[in-house]
Amino acid sequence: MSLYGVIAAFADPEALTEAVRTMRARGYRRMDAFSPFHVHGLADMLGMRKTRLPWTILGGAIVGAVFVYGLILYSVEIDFPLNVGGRPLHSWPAFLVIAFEAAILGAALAAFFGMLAANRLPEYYHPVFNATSFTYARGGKFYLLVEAADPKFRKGVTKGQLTRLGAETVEEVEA
Amino acid sequence: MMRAMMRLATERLILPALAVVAVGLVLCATGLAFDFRAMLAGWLPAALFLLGLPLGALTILMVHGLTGGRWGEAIRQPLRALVATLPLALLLLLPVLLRLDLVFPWASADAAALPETVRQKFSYLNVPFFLLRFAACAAIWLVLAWRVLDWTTTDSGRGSAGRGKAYAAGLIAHGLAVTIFAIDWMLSLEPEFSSTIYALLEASAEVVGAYALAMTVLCVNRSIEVMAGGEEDVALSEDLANMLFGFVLLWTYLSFMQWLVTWGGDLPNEIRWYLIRSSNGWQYLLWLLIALQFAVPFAGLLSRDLKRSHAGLLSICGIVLAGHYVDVLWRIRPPLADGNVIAFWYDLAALAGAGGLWLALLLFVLGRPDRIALWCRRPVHG
Repeated sequence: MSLYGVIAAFADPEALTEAVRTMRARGYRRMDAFSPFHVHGLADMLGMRKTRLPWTILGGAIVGAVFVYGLILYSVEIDFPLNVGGRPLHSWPAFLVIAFEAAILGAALAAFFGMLAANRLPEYYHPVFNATSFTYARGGKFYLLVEAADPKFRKGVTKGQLTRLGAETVEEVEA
Repeated sequence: MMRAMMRLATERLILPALAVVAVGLVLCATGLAFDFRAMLAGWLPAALFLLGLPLGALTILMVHGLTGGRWGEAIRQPLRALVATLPLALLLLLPVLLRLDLVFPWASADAAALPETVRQKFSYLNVPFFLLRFAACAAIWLVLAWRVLDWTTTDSGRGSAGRGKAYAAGLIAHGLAVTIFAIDWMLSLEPEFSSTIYALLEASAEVVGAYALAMTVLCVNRSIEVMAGGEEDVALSEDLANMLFGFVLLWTYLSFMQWLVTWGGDLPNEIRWYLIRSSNGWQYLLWLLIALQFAVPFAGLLSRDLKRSHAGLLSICGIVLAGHYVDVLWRIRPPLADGNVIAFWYDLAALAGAGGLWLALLLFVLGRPDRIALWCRRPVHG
């Protein structure tokens, strides 16, 4: 059994944000926080990068539109050319509607799967669930996890620092 | 103090606006003496553009009365000022009423020579009935403006609670009036063309123009990009910009649909409307329209950074407003033109004269919002 890190439970979001700020100032970088609801500004404090999901969604929309437009173009120009009322085979005004629908579909799919990928879901195992203070029965607190892989991590020192920051419990997490 | 500064700023602009009006009206008078028909052809798009702004503001205020929301409470003041300019905007159409025969083919002297399909429409398209319909529309709008200005007086938002039915009835009456107006004053310039979507297209275009102008006024006065919006972390400017985005998309959708249906039908009477507007140089105006009213705002409003930047918002609103003017010009002007680019000085003269006059009134109302109370015949406190 190797050590994954230590997890500290705090009673309220203010204590958690204060702990994150202090630990960041001490040089810790490989940390993660858990809370039952969104805590304002916590992601920024942890140094998480701004979401790139909007670009993924834009990309999905463009891919969807281009793919479907190309599909229609292939079917009317190459696969099965059909003269409808003397109009040109490449009747782009009519194609735009379908391409637009496909853009929306592509954007929605990109948003859904991009969100899953960005959150690394589905994830079947995470060491944090080995901590007893994080279990369903005892959960509902505000947690700060410091990974053992952090260069500043010294087991005893880190645990002491977290306790002095007002943690209710500090627990080692097995990998 | 901010209100006082704004009063000074707007009232300082009234005199220059009136100077522009003087120049414009002199030019218009010259134009009238020179060529009555060409002058009216230049005047009509400007007057219709200006009338569309208070009408669009009326639509937005009534829709907000039904839906509620922080965005509408923030933008209510400039919209109310726009609605208050309605009587002047209606008066601007009077010069055209003097000589309907010079503008509308069905009223002209050689109307009997028009094709059979158009002559069958004469039971609707004739001068007395036209005047009656215009009077009815004007009456509906004046009553609506009077009522809506009264209902939206309070800033508490209480007004929308018990007035849902009144707003709904108002919107129905407004919708009918705009439909009749759009058919009479815009579609009947080419009486052989018909489009059932056109009135809604005109209404949505009015909303786009009025909203862009109201948002410009709001941006100039206040730093809306730092005010709190409807949700946590969302600036008010973001909510407002998203509404603009929605209105622009609605207009784009309706414009595209009218074109798609006409293009799909490919009937000579209908496609002519587009052929006139995409040849003889009008195609450049069309490209400009697509850029200003669709491509640029669409690309720009996708960006959240732009929606939180003061300069960005101002430029997007200005671009959309300019796009709305190009839209009106593109829809109204081509059938009245004689293919001469120099004839655009009539448009510029009309824009200076009519637009300056209207702008002076708008600035007058914006400088002291309590002047709107002239409509309601009772003092407004605060």
